[in-house]
This record gives sequence, C-alpha cells and structure tokens, in this order.
Amino acid sequence: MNVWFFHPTDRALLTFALSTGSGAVSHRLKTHLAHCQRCRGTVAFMRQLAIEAPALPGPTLRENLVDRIRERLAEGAAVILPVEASRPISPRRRWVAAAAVTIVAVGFGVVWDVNAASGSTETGELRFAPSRIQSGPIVARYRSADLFGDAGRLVLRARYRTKWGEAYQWASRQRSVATLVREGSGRYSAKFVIPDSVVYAAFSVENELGTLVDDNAHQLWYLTRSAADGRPLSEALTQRSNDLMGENMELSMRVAQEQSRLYPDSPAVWGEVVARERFLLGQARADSTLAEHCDRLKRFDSYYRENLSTTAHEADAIVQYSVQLDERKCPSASPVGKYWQNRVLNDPSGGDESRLRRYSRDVSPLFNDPKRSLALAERYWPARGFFGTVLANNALSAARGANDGSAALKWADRFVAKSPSLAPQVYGALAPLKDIREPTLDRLRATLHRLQTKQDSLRPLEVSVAQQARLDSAATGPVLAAIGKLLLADGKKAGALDTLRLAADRGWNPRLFGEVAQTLLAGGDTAGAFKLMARVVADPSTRPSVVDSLTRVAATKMPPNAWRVAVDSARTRLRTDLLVEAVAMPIRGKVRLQALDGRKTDLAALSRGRVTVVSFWSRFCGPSLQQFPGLTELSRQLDERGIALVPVLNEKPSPELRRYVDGTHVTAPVFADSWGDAIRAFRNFGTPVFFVVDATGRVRYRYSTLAKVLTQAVAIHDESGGRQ
Amino acid sequence: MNAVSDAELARGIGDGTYGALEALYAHCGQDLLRLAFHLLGSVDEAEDVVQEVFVGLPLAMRRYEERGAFRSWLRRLTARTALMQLRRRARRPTETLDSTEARQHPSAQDLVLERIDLQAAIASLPDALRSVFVLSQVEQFSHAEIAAMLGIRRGTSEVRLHRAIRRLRSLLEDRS
Repeated sequence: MNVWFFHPTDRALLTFALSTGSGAVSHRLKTHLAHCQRCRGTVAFMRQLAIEAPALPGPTLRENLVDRIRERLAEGAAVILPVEASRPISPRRRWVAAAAVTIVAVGFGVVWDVNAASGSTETGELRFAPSRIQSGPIVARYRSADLFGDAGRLVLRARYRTKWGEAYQWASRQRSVATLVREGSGRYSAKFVIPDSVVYAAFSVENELGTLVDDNAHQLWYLTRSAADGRPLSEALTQRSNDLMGENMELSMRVAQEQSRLYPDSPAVWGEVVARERFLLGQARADSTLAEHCDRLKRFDSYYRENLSTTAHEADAIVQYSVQLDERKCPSASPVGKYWQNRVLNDPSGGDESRLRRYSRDVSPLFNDPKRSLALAERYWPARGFFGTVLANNALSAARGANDGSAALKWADRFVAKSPSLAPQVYGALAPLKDIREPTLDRLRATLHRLQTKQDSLRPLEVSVAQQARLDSAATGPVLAAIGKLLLADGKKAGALDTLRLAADRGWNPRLFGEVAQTLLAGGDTAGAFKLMARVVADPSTRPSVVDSLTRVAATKMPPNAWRVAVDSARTRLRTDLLVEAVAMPIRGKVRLQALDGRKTDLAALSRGRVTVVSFWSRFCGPSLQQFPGLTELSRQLDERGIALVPVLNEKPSPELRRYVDGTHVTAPVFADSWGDAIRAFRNFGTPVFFVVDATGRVRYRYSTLAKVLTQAVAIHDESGGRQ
Repeated sequence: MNAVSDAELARGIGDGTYGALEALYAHCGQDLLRLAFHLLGSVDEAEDVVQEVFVGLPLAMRRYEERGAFRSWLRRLTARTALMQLRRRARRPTETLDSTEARQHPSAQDLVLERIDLQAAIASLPDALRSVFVLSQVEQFSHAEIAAMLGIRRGTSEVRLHRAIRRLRSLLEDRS
C-alpha cells in the first residue's frame, strides 16, 4: 500500500516543497496532496517562503559605521569573538550548562573584552596611538601575555630602519625604546619618540631582565611612516619587506604584493614582487603571470623613456624588474634591461645605483687582479647600505687574495662596522695573515670581550638574554681557536694551549676538536689531545678511515678500556651539546613534492615515520653546485642508520634538470618543489640548507649545513633510542 | 597585480595595513549587517554586532584555520556574535522591529509591503524559532551548522524550523 492515510509530517512536506518531487516518497505524497487541500496549502506556503525569505533585504550600511570601527581599532580596542562552535548539549546536561552560562553571563557582555578574558594567552596585545610613525610622541599600550605575571614594568624594544636599510638583519641593531609601566591588571603603557629618519620600526616586549620575551608569536609588532595621503611610504614597506627577509619570506612576499597594490606605478616594487613570487610560489606561478609582467615592463619602458626627468633610481628599478623576467618567454626584457642599464651607468648624478653598477662593471675584469680590485674599491668608498656591504666584502676578499695585511685589516674593520654580528667570522679569517698578527689578536680579543659581555644592541628582538648568551658562547669557540693559534705562532705556548682547550669546550665542532687535538699533541698535552680525538671518533660524520686511524694511535698510548670510556663519554657529551640546540616545530600543511619523472608524492610518504633530513638545493647557486655531489655519501651514511634523505630542488622537473642530475652521478632520489610547498612549510630562503625532521614530523634542526647535519640527524635518531 | 583575498584583508586589519578595513567592510559589511539584523530585528543592535566583529577580527584571525571559505567562516562568526547578543537581550526587555524599527528606520520604509509583512512576522517569532528560521531560510545555513551555532541537536533545529513555518503561516494568514 503506497498511500498516506494521515497527514504527512512537516519534515516530509518541507522536503517535498524544496525538492524536484521525484522518487517513491514523493509519489506517495503526491497522491496524498491530490486529495488534501490543507497539505497543498502548506506546500505552497513553504515554496513561497523559500523564494521570499532569502530575498529579504536588510538595512543599508550607514556611512559612519566604518568610522566607528576605525576609531575603536585606533584606540587599541580588542574584542574576543565566539570563534569556536558550540557542541550539542545532551538534554541531561543542559540544565547544568544553562546554570553555568547564566552565572558567567551575569558579569559579562555579549562580547568579552580582553580585560575580562581569563584564558591563558601565549602573546599579549601591543597597540600604538597613532598607529603610524610620526614626529611627535607615540603612545604604546600593551595587554600583557601570561608569561609576565604581574610585573610592574616591562621593556619595549625596537629595531629601527631608515630608507637605506639593507635586506636581512645582519646590519641591524636593536634598542630599548621605553619602559612600559603597569596601569592596571595586565595593562601597561609607555610614551616614546621615533627619530625622523626612521621609516619602519619593529617591536617586542620583554621583562626588565630580558629573560622573557613576547615577540607576538615570532611576528613582532611594527609601525610604518605614512605619506600625506595616509598610505604607508613605499620606502617603509620596502624596509618591512627587507626586515622580514630570511625570517618570514611568505610575509615578505605579502608585503611586496600589498606595496604593488598601493604603488602600482613603481617598477622597483614590481621587481620585488616577481622575485619573491618566483622564489616562494615556484616557476609555474612565475610563468602564469609572465605575460602580465612583460606588458607592464613595456609600459614602464615607454613611459619612462618619454619622461625626461627619469632618475637613476627609477632606471635601476626597471633593470631589476627586467632581469626577473625569463627573456626566452619575454623577449623584450633583455633589450629593455640593457637600455636602462646603460642609462644608469651613464647617469651623471652620482647616485648609489649608478655607482654600484659602474663598480660592478669595472670590477668584473679584475677578478684575478686583487691589487687593482682593491684600488678600485678604495675609489668607491665610502658607500651606503647594500652597496657598502658589497664593496667591503669584495675588497676584504681581494686584500686576503693579495696577502695585503693592512688592507685586509682596514676592510675587515669597515665590514664589521656595517655588520657587527659577523665580527667572529671576519676577524677569524684574518688569522693566516702574518704581518697583522698583533692587531688581529687585538680585534679577536675585543670580539671575544663583546661576545662575553651582554650587548643588547646586537640581540635580536625575538631572542632572550639567556638564548643570546648561549649563541654567543657557541660563537666564542672559533674566536678562541683563532686566538690560540695566533698565540702559538707567536711562541706563547702555555697561553695558546689554555686558550685552545677553552675553545674546544664551547659547543660541538669536530673540525675544531681535530685541529686543537693536533696542536695539544704537538704541545705535549697527550691526555687533552686524546680526549678531543675521542670526540672526533664519536661524531657520526667522521669517516671510518679516520676513526680506524685515531683508534690505532690511541691503542699505542692508552689502555683499550680507557679509550672506550673516553669515546662513550664523548658520545654522551655530543647528545647533550646537540640536543640543547634542537627545536620542535610542527610542519604546516602537506608538503607536496614531485619526482623528476613527474610522479607526485609528499614528504610524509617519503619519510614513512622515520627521522628525515630535508635538504634544499639549487642549480643556480655556487655552494650548492660544489656540495651537490656530497649528497650520495650523505645518503649512504643516513641510510645505514635508517634515516631518510629528501633532497629538494627549487624548480619543476624538466628534461634539462634530469640531464643535470644524471650528470652529477648523485644516486639519491631528488625531488622538485613544484608547488613551493616545501619552502613555505620550512620557511627556507636559501640553498644549500638542511633541516632535520623527527619521526613524529616535527622540525628539530633548522638551517643546518652539510658538515653538521649527519651528526644532528643521528642525535635525533638516538634520542628515541633509534626507534621509528 | 594579485587580488587580495578577504582573509588577507582581515589579517591586514590586525597588521594595520592601509585600506584593509575599508576594503573588507565594502566586501562583506552589508551581508553581515543583514544577517545580524534578521537575527536581532534591530538595526542599532545589528550595527553593534558588525562593529564588534570587525574590531574583534585581528584576534579572531589567530584561530582561523583556512580550512573552508573565509566568507562562510565570517558569516558564522557574525551569527554567533548576534546570537550571543540575543541571549543577552533575553534577560532584559527590549522593543522589537514589530513595535518600532519598521516604522522608524528609513531603509525599512523602502521595503515591499509583502516583505514588511513577512519581516514583521519573522520578528514576532519567539527567539528560539526566529533564530533557526532566519539561519535556515534567510541565510541558508545547514541544520548541522545551525545546531553547532545554537548548541542544540540537528533534529531540534529541524523541529524548530517546522514550528516557525507553521507559526508564520498562521500569523500571515491572520493579517491577510
């Protein structure tokens, strides 16, 4: 029987009203409806409602509403919205929940102000009034993160950038700009002034001792200087992008994209956008927008050629834009670039752009003539910003190549003045130059003193005093080693050996252990030398032949048991030293990769729950090309221990790429980051760079090197007892 | 140039990005105001809800996980905020659209007569029925979404919708 004797339920009628009316149930309904006027009326009403209800208009937005919102945001108002969905409440528990809601709701409004929120927070809220850099005082209001407890005062730290600021943070200095004084429960405020030359400022908050830092979940807070029309200055956005270089490339790209929206007529901005998009989103994305960029470049070209007042800065920006475009697919890029490069080279105004291009042109033929290269650099000095760094770096290399100690010292000082955090490496590299041994020792001692003295201006905003102390301590190892060697060369044997022993106790550095062990052995400290040799043997990256050789030497000088104990003790120390540097960062999202034959895969599938080394490579990077053949050996060493290796190349698979990889005789399977997932997930910005991922998929070591990565991967592997 | 998504604009509000608030407001403000208005029946309260949603977005974005469309997430967030306002109002007497808003608010005068009838009828529904009806029939949320927003079971949401439709039919037939 297929007929309803009773009226259908409302649910059935509504389903019928909103459906196409086919199927068995609908047939039964139809039969009923044919005889029931009441139900026909209900269905008709439901259908009418289904048409009219979604079309109901709402009130018109009033003009002043957005102004009210803007004002509240500028005041620093913060509201916690009910983001999480409620879960269904069972009828049995409903009265309990209702009672709880009533009790809580008595004290709070519809939306809870942050003041009233009691939940734990990892980061606080920092607001500025006004929310841009201005000539007068700026008020900072901070709602405390839980980590500060009820501290009476906090410190507002900042990194300022002028329009000459360079990409990356090597040359950056930080400063404490104000004391945030508590005004009430968890609320602090301070007033400060930013110098007129500053166009961009990044901020963090920390306690007075600098042991706890709120860096806004690694994003920091920031202010930019604005133009008269309210837009952030283009220079300010460039500096924000520069400040994020190497730290957060994805955000750096978003800033560049935003800058291109605000300043669509700036060739410099578009060059930055293309460079970042190509790097982060891959060649496929670059190809998909190439036509658009090619057209824009032509428009810039014709516009600026007709404009008689085009500056060297604008001309240089067109050159930079043109070199980002693939000249095979955008044939006009090359002639346009050459034309504007000539304009920059012949610019009579003497601006930085034209000086840098002229210097680059003149220095190229002097690659094998360090003396003339040095003389050329001197002619261009002083130079600001990026040009200054390039010049100092080139001249320092030339001075070392020419074995010219005094010139090397001069350019090293200039380099360090620009990038003080690189002093250990720069002065350490001067050690082989005999004629400047004393002044080099002075500078190394000063560097050591600096590393052992709290120097807040060189501490990044995100780093606590304790973290910086650890980093500085690790950096003292190579400096102490350089001092020890110089002292030894000066015949000051006792002081040299003491210094070298100290050097070997700062961090895990097998190369340094080997060097110091040899020196100690030559100096007669056999026990000290074998202690360090045991560390070399304990390191997994040491070649088996070296292990055998050192073991044989040890057998002639000490009992076998003592040697075994020394090696075991060194292994324990290795784990302790290495694991203290490890982090635990989850990888965001799925990391898609492509094998060179086009097959799609992903990182999880390749790792299969093992400790995994992910390494980034590029065919267009000198150090990558040098180290790439080392992949086969690394792969074998990792494989022996059950650790996976996933080498990632920054381009899409192509016959050309396959030919290149075949030519290198690398036997490890190589994968392409065709969708840019890998560089985004690892926030990586260079090659060759290594990451160690543990068996649970967390990044444990970041931005590592070929020399260190095996040791680190084994430490993580052993941390879980080798279990996968 | 790349089009900036609504989610990026929402992040930009927190970052102080120039024009982000205005752009997102232009894209979504009207839609959100309409949603809040139908749930609350009051223009002033609906505007308050929209204001709170935009002011609260910088914090809320930290919990946005980009798993669905941003616009849907924002609409659900606005609906929840309006529903909280509704619950709060339930504890104090207030005038509804039926008594004041339809006559006072200029934009309401432009509405088609039948729609005023329907709107007034909807506004006169008890809160529990009106919420489900508006979310389901006006704003086209699914019963699963409505159940999650109201903290009720899906079946309860369906029953309330049927009751609301029955009540509306009765109200509109009485008026005609």
